[in-house]
Amino acid sequence: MQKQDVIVIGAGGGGAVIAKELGEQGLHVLILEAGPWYGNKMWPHPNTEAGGVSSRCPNDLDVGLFKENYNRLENNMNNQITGKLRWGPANREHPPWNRSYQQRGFVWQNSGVGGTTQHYLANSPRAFPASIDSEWPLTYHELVPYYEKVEAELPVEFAPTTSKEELFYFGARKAGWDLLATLNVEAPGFRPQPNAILPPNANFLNPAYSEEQLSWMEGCTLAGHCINGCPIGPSVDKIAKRSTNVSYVPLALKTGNVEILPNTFSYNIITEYHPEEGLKAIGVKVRNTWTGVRDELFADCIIVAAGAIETPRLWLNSSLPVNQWVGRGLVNHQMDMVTGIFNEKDLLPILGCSEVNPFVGHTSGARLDHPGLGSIQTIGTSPGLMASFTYALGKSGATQSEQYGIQKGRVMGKELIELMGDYKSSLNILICTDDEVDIRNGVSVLTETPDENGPIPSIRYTPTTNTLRKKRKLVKIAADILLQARARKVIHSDWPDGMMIHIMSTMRMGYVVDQNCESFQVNRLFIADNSVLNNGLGSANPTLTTQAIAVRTAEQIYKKYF
Amino acid sequence: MLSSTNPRNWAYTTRLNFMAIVDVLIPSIVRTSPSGWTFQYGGVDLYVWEYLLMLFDNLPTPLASETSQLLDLSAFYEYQERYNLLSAYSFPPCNGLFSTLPRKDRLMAIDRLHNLQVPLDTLPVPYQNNPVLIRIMIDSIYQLTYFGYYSEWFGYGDTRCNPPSFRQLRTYPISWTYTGYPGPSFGYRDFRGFLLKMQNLKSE
Ligand SMILES: Cc1cc2nc3c(=O)[nH]c(=O)nc-3n(C[C@H](O)[C@H](O)[C@H](O)COP(=O)(O)OP(=O)(O)OC[C@H]3O[C@@H](n4cnc5c(N)ncnc54)[C@H](O)[C@@H]3O)c2cc1C
Ligand code: SF4
Repeated sequence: MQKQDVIVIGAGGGGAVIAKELGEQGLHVLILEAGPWYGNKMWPHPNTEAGGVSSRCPNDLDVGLFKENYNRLENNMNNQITGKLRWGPANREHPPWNRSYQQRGFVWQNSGVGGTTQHYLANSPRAFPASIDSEWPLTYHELVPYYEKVEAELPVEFAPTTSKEELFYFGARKAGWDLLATLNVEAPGFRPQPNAILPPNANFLNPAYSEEQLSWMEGCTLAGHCINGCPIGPSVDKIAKRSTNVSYVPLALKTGNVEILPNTFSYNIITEYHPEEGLKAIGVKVRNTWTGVRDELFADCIIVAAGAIETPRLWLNSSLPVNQWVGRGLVNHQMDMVTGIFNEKDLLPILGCSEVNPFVGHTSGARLDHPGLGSIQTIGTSPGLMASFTYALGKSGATQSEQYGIQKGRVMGKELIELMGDYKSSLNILICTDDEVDIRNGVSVLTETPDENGPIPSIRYTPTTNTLRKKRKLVKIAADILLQARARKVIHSDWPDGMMIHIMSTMRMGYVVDQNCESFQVNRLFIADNSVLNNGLGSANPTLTTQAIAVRTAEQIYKKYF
Repeated sequence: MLSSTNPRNWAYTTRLNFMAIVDVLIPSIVRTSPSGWTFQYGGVDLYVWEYLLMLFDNLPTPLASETSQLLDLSAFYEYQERYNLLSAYSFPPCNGLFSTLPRKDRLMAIDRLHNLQVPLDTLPVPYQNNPVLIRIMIDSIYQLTYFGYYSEWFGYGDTRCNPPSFRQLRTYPISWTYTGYPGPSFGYRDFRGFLLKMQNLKSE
């Protein structure tokens, strides 16, 4: 292994981006990733055999292997305990890595090259400008060129319309909302999702090509598996849904300067005191997840991109200087779900067909943004995910709400069976609240219960009253849109508070890191994941902003240290 | 290799309890459809209880038998209240007690746990005095039962007891017919155009 200029911990939403940018500057970058690498010849059986050690060559990427692994079966892919896309070691016979929760709910994350973007929905909206300008040490205006760069690189496009988006737009229009033709959201309105999914190719509607042939060509086939990992495309770097393992990772390898070690858990950051620079990061202690062998690796700069739970855990487990904001201020967009069930005869005049078919098209293709409150987004998943996220998660048993005439809470038995019998004529809407930063929420570590990687994270989250007020308003907006679209029945799932899907701002910019994402207290230690976000972005899905900031951070690192 | 997670060593009563809980959440029923009466297999018939047991034993701290004991204790309090047993006279609940309750009472026993209406210090470790864990596990029972039932789990046939990487889809999962889900696809041509294109915004 050659000497590294930079070590990046984590190859997910942020890590892959900063590695590619620094590789392009000519720096030697080593990425340490805790989980497996799917679709790489060095690991032909990533879940059952240790395979190779590292890969740095784009020719190692193999789309046949990739498709074999991403086999589109929802339990195989997305079971949080044994699925391929889970938070745990590559070997699925071993349990997931442990976390401790102080409230109902769970954290939904993936390990592996691509990180949680492997099953994210690729929704890539920019932050609402007002949420940046009021609180960040950067202005929105300063971020725009970086947004544009990432949008071009991924690339980001607006989602095409299929039945479920059509139905949502119909309801939103009838409810009095306007189409919002902008990337910089300052007023409420609905719009197609700006997302990192390649548009369908030119031959998509040409009957001369079978669907299977199309699945080996470039472009989305509206196959609807985004949340279970998209396998559609002719080569790894041209897979339709642009998780970072198929977007930035191949670009990083193409620079010739980036090497990736999967199955490598970083459990400690090594620092030393330097007479002129003060305390600075110089290396990382790692543990191989197959062999248990430990090692130490050194570089001029260390970048942590381990996600908003593991990044503070790593800081705390490395006994870095005390900072009251480390791990604190966690926001998660206080999510919830509202579902409409439609009659076939009512759908016909709107859609020209009698079914919504939630499994067709982008998992999330349409949204409504409401600065000050948050956003709502259509969701269409395979039936197992639909049943478990829509009907299993309520805080309470089902009740009829007086206020809006909608049903609230968990359902079971005969009622569940009947509702799932209407799967094909139902439409889910995800609520993403603009939740407030509260220093009491966040990640600490439990020293009394370490796992093989050290004390485990303990997660605490209670939404503020104001956050819950905003959520109620969004639930009402979503229900209204469904009712306007003539839903026969509307069900509000009523999720517990600790459902963490957009986990952010646990190492806040302006508090733990400066505007260049360098730690205030440890020189040469940078952060490039969701944890540097200073707040919840007004409720915009976080990844694009994290990626834009990672591009900016790469520029600053190069300028300052190389 | 295939036998490394052999799932078939749970106590008989543990299995009964898990069958009993799955049977409450997704029972076998006869229902009317536009074409007439149809029978629908429930979670027990589709081995969802086995799915739960395997998953709970694959957690960092295996919890299948502890969860079964948790259900038994809740059933015990359910009986005590129902039949006015003297609370001073208490005997250790027998294994599988939960499975002896009628459906409606099983549901009450689950609710009782969820509402923490059991003396938390009598529960088995790690549930003992751990209200958050109890609630998370009850949530997980619901979530995983639904996920197992409506996903491809049953379609794995006899490979379902293999470790995760050695399962294969052997048959069409019956539950897909109950939802009309056609299964994974290479694509759908339901393309209705674009409401907005990025290039329209370039002037912003
Ligand atoms: C179902 C789902 C859908 C989502 N959809 C969207 C969406 O549409 N749009 C959006 O913007 N966001 C979405 N998100 C959120 C999105 O996935 C995250 O915002 C994004 O992945 C965060 O990037 P990250 O770099 O912070 O963390 P991650 O992507 O989680 O990457 C962290 C990486 O670090 C690795 N790692 C962690 N600890 C260590 C360690 N100690 N040593 C070595 N490696 C380590 C992990 O294995 C992982 O690969 C979704 C999330 C979920 C769960
Ligand atoms: S709909 Fe999703 S899974 Fe299907 S091809 Fe498009 S991006 Fe991939």
